[in-house]
Amino acid sequence: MWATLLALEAHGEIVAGVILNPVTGELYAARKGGGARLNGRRVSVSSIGDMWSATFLHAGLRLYRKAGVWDGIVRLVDATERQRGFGDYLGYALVTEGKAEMYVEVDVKPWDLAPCKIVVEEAGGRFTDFAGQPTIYSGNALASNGRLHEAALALLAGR
Amino acid sequence: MTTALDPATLERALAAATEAARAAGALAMKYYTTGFEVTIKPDDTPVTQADREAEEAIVATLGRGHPLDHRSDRRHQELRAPDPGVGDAARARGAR
Repeated sequence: MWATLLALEAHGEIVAGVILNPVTGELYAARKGGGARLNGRRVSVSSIGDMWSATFLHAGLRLYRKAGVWDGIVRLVDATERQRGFGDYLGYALVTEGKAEMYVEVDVKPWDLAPCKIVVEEAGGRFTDFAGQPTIYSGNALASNGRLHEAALALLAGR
Repeated sequence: MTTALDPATLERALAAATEAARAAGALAMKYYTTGFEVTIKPDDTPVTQADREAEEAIVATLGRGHPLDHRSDRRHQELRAPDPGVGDAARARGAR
């Protein structure tokens, strides 16, 4: 699983981004204020608002343990209806399409996250680091459908 | 936060990025179907020849008429990986 990721940052804000999986031909694209599109078709996050109906996506589990957020991940596992593991761009893509409600990543670089942020946001979702800041520079990321974002942040932090 | 870029400029930027991604993707597909070697960079992360050539294709494509070409886009340079990396394909091989 891999993709080509490109983004444009202007004045400290990611304002455009594309995610292309050349194998499947799936192209996610978004620019500030223009919505998110998958192969030209508008896509949006899910409207699920209760954690027990939500699907939580994770990446490689060992990375969470190494990053010291294992307890937070377990709380998300216990709170959500389903959990599935993918990785890299695909988790953001599935949240963007409304096929999952949240995705958590650690050990990531800004260039891993830049287009994912604008694509998720323009689909109606929310993208932050674990502290709730809308940034790609913290090395960790939570993407969600928006409605469950604060709850997911609280579970990650143990609040 | 507001952006100084108008929607038309952003649309052109998005079109340029899409074109660049497709060029890089087509190049990477050549290696995807014929095989590739994973090497480890000094920072202990993996990279392939496909990554390097894909990045070159992106830079070349964006160099042809990118709407923001006139800018000295330092932040863009900072956002670029110091050397392009690979994702799960290499990790699955134990490179990470």
